[in-house]
Amino acid sequence: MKMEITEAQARELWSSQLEQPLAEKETQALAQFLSANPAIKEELESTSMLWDNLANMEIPSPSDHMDQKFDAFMAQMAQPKAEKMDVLYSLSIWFETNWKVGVGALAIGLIIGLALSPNKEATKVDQLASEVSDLKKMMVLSLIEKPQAQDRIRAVSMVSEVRKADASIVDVLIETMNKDKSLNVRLAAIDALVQYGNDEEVRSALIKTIPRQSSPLVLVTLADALVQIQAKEAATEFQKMMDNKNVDPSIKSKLKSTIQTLKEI
Amino acid sequence: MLKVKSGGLEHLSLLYKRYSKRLYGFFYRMTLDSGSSEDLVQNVFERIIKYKHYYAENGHFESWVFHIARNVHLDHIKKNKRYDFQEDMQSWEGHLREEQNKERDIQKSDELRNLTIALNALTTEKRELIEMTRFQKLKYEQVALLLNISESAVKVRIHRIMKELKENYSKLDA
Repeated sequence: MKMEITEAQARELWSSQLEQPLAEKETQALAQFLSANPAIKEELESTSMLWDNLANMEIPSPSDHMDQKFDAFMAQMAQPKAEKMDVLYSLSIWFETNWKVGVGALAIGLIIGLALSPNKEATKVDQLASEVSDLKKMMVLSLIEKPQAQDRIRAVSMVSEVRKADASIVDVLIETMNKDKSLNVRLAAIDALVQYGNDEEVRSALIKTIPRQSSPLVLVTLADALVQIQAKEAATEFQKMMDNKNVDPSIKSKLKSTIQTLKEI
Repeated sequence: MLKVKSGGLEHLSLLYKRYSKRLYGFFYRMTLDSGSSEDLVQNVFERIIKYKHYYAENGHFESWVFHIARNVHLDHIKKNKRYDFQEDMQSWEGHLREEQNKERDIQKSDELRNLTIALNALTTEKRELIEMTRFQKLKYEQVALLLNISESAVKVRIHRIMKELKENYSKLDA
């Protein structure tokens, strides 16, 4: 029995035969329709020719770059995993065979690290410096009692090397400044006391010693020291000395300028 | 592909050997740009790795790979709206010269050259259908699934597109 089709069905069958051969019945039906419709037959035949011609269209081949890019991509995909595996595997093998060396190296490292620890080194240095300072303090207190002026001057000079001069050192220096029979020792004591100029006790002692001193050299040194530590209140003591008729005339101008300077502070 | 899915990435090279030239052809005919086509082929394989878990075990790899290729191409169009072919012949004739320039390095007969120009004057969707059915030789059933339309609709569309192509070609031939 013959199969009759519409135009739409004929066009669909035409499309179908582009993909794969039609069934016998469909081929016959299409042929029958086209023979009855020559215009459509002509149209579809020319379109079929165009369809066939499309196969002749050429395209350029891809460059080698495309393959290279893909190879690089594959290498990139594989590499990190492989490297990670290799590193882990190598490390595990190394630890299995060399764990004693590793532990030994760790122990040596710890010992060296502890020995060379900057904190410990610093603590040691601090401790040593403190011990030296204590030793010098003892030497100061010891030398200041010596009969030789030269030793007492050494003792006073050594005060600057003592890291933390405590009250005992300051007291010794004040005592020396007031009572030492040697002029040079007293001068050295004044110079040593200047570094403690912020200490109220020292400032007071330096002022109180003014009327005790008769040597022009000591008075001039004392005047400079009191100006240096800005002991304004010393001006009164110097003024009293100026008013004293027994004062050495050679230091009057020095005392006058000192009083003036102290008043201006 | 199932081996790739289960972690055997080295099997991707085999898929590349089988499909890279076909995919290059797909992209080249769609973009007329060899450099971009090579990059887009690479993108397809990168997406295969990225989305390998979504590949169905009973799936058809050819359909799946062209599904990815279509998406890669659509993304490419979105990023580069440089080639946006007009559907009507009037607009198409306007940039005919441009198309001819793009094809200047392809040595072929006038007939094939005109056919290429006529084909390129079709819209992206229409050229894509011709590309998949004529050049990639995908089954209508596969194309229907890719486009989410019926097989019958594929046949009708092919007929219409070929008719339009013939008209374009006739104008050039005349």
